[in-house]
Amino acid sequence: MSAVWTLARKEVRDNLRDRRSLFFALLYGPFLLPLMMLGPILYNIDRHTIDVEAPTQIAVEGGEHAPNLLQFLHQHNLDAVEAPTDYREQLMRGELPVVLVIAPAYAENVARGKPAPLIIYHASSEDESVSRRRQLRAVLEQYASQIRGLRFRSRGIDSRVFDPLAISERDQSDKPRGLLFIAYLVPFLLMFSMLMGGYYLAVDTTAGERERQSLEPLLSLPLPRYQIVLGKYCAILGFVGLAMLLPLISTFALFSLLPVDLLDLNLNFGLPTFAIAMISNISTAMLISAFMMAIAAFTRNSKEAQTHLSFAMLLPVVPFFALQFLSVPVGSFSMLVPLLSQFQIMETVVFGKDLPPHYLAVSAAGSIAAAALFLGLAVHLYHRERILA
Amino acid sequence: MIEATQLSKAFRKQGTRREWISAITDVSFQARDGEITGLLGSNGAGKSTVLRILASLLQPDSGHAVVDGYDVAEDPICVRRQIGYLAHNAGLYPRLTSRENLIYYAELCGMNSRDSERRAEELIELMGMQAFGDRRTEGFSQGQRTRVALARALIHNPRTLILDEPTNGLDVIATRGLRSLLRQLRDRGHCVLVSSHIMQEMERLSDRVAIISDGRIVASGSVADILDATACTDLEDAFVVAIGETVAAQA
Repeated sequence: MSAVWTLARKEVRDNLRDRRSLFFALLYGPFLLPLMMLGPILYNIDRHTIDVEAPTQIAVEGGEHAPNLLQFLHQHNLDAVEAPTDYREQLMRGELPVVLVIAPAYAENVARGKPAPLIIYHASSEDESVSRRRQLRAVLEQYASQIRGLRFRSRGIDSRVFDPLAISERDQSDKPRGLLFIAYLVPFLLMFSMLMGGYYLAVDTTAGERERQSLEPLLSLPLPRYQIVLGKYCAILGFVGLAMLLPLISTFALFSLLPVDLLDLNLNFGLPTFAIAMISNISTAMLISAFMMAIAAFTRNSKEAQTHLSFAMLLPVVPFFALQFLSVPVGSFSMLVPLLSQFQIMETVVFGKDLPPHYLAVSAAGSIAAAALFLGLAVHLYHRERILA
Repeated sequence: MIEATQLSKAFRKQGTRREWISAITDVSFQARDGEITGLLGSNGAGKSTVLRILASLLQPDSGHAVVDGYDVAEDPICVRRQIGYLAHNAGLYPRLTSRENLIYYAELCGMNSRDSERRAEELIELMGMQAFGDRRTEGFSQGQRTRVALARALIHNPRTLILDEPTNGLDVIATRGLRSLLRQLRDRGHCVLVSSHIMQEMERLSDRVAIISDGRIVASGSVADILDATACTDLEDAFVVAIGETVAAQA
């Protein structure tokens, strides 16, 4: 069996000298892909979410007409500052999110019990302006309802008679529909990275070796063919394994850099989640390596292998989309399905549900069985005389 | 020692299911230890198919071949331990140096790393490869590639050598070097089987020849025997006569 080790070592060394293999295995999947996919999403979550607890300044014109309102705003973390004179231009340029204009008639109207005019200037094309307007509006509604209550009480009426219904909502779904894709993002990234990472090695060690015509002398050596297949498989597995581990680290770092507390959204992206992602995807790495090896061994040349494997790149997309649009119940049976089970495991963990330990075992068993099947197919293909032609 | 007896092999015609093309039919010949045997034939005559069967890479449809006492169909691993096989193309790993190419094969043949390195060094000296021993083989000339590939075929010190057109693309000096190397190996008792379509080459090198045409052996024996049988003065004429053409028409 030392031949297997020799073969694997040679293939790894050979491909470490190939910049393309290296780029896709160590840079593209592990770092560029997570940045490209997660970066914009995380950035957007960050931009659309504002922290209402943090005191913010708010530009106000005519603040002297409404000292009580400003006091109320201050209690709700909005500190009034004098608005600049060219605030409309600044709003248009996106330099100011919102401006509250208090009309000179405000104080008099409040005193007489008439609607007191307030104008909120905002720019709906700017993300921050949209969220600040919503925040300011909510605080003002609260202030209005407080004044309304006081006015009714002074006339001896309970203002609640004007609220005949008390409606509140309780969402019982355990996985927020729109957030499913965030849970699936990690396994999707890992699988894609693994496919990219092993891609060139799979092509190079099988179809590439045949094209260089180095396969014929290799097969004339006193080695059983299954050892040749195993050696190449181990090399591919090494690259694929690395292409799984590295993006785990980079996505973990990306998620923990995120300023928004994801726990607020009931999402678990802590170390345990990533540890389970790693454990559940070890078998995926074995499967993906065997799958790529069999496909590449089946094809006649590198070009054909590349075409076939490009279609294989779509593989992780299938469960990624299927699970978002179809409701596949999580159970021991679905755990047997390779790729699908890894997505479901992540879903369970990310949404903070308990993961029965046997799910991990069943998922691994299903994927390893599939890997063994593909590896068997590769060995069979290497026994055919056509492998030389 | 190689003994081929009535080997036949057919391949499926590309793109068809039922049509078969016969590559070789009833090929029988011997290559003895301590002799250089030339397998002569024009392009597409079936030389490579015969050599691939002897190297246990292809299974014959019928007939059998024995290399150093092992049947190629029944004991392929034992056969491969006996032979050094040089394929039609060198088939080197371009991103590895000449030395790394040699050590890789040595280790695959079961040598430990110290023995592998020593054997590689020996062969680099024997083949005069010092100048490019530690260069990656990408961009090597045909002669350099053939030398590395031949050294690689010799790596486990095989008893029997099967070389598919080893002089392909070699210049005069490299060819002379190769010839003297093969003679050395013959003198040490190795069995050397060389295929070629270059008659002058074979006439100088071979002790015995087998002429293959359209997948069949049409003549075999020592060079002198074949010249006698065909009443010719050189091997090229003898070859033309043997494959059924007339010398005058071809000349």
